[in-house]
Amino acid sequence: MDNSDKHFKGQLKDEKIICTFRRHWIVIFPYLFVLVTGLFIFLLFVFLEPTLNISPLTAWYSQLLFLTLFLGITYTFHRIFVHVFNYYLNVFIITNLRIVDIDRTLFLRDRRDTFNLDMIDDVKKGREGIFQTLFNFGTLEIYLPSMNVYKRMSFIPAPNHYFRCICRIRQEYIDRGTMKHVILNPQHIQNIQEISEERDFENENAKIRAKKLDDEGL
Amino acid sequence: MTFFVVFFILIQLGSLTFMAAAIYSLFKYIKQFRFDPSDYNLLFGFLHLRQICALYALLTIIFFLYATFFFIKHYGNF
Repeated sequence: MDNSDKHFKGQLKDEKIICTFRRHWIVIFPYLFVLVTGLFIFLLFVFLEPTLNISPLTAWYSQLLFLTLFLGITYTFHRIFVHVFNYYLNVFIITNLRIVDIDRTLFLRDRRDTFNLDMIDDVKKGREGIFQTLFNFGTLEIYLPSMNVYKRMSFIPAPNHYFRCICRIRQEYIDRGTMKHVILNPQHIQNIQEISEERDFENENAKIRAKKLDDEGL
Repeated sequence: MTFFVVFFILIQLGSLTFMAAAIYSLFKYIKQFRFDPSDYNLLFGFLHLRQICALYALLTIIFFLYATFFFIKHYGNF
C-alpha cells in the first residue's frame, strides 16, 4: 500500500501514522480568556449603547479617540485568533518510521523537524508542579546522540501516553530489524578504539611474558 | 471625505482582507494535513479548526457590521 502524502505532505510510502497530537490547550488559555471577556464587554456595550448618550464624532479629539480604540480592538481581535490558529498549525506526528515536528505560523514561519527512530537514543518525560499534574501536561525530551542534543517538547498533553508510545514504536522498529545502522557519538567511537588498542597491547605483553617464562623453563 | 472617514474605511477593509487571507491559508493547511480527529489533536477534545475558522469569520463580519452602523449613527456627515 502506497501511503505517500496520504495524511500529510511528505509522508513516505511505507509510513503509517501511529498518532498525532498538539500542545495542551493551556498554551492558548490566556488568549481565549481575553476573547471571551472581550465578547462579553462587546455584548454589554451593544445593549447599553442607546442609554449611554455618546456624543457625535465631530470634534477632532473624539475622532482620534474612536480611531485609536477601533484600531486597538481590531488588532487585538485578529491577534487572538492568529494565536489560536498557530496553536492548530503546530503538530507532532508519531509514525512507524520517525517523529515529525511541524512548527509553523499562519504566514511567516514554516519549519519541520524529523527524527528517525534509529537516531533516538533516550527518551525522558517530566511532569512537575500543581498545574501540570492537575491538567495533565508535561515535557518530553528525546536524546539524539548523532547531534548530541536533547530535543525538548513542552506542554505535551498526557506525557505518559506519548512516552510509552515512543518507547514502544522504537522497540518495534528495532525488532523489525529495519535499523540499518547505528549512529554513534564520535566520542563513543574514539573510546571503543582506545579500549581495543589497550586490549591488543595487553595481549602482546601477556604473550611476551609467557614466552619469557617458557624460555626460563618455568 | 475627511481623513477620519478614509482611515476608518481602510481599517475595515484591512480587517476583512486579513480575515480572508487567514482563512485561505488555513484551508490550504487543512487540505495538506488530513489527520483523523482525536482527543489530542482537537482543541478541548472536540473543536476542529474548521469550526474555529467559521467562528472567526462570523465574529469579524458581526464586528464589521456593528462598527459601520456605529460610525454612520454617530458620524453621518460624509
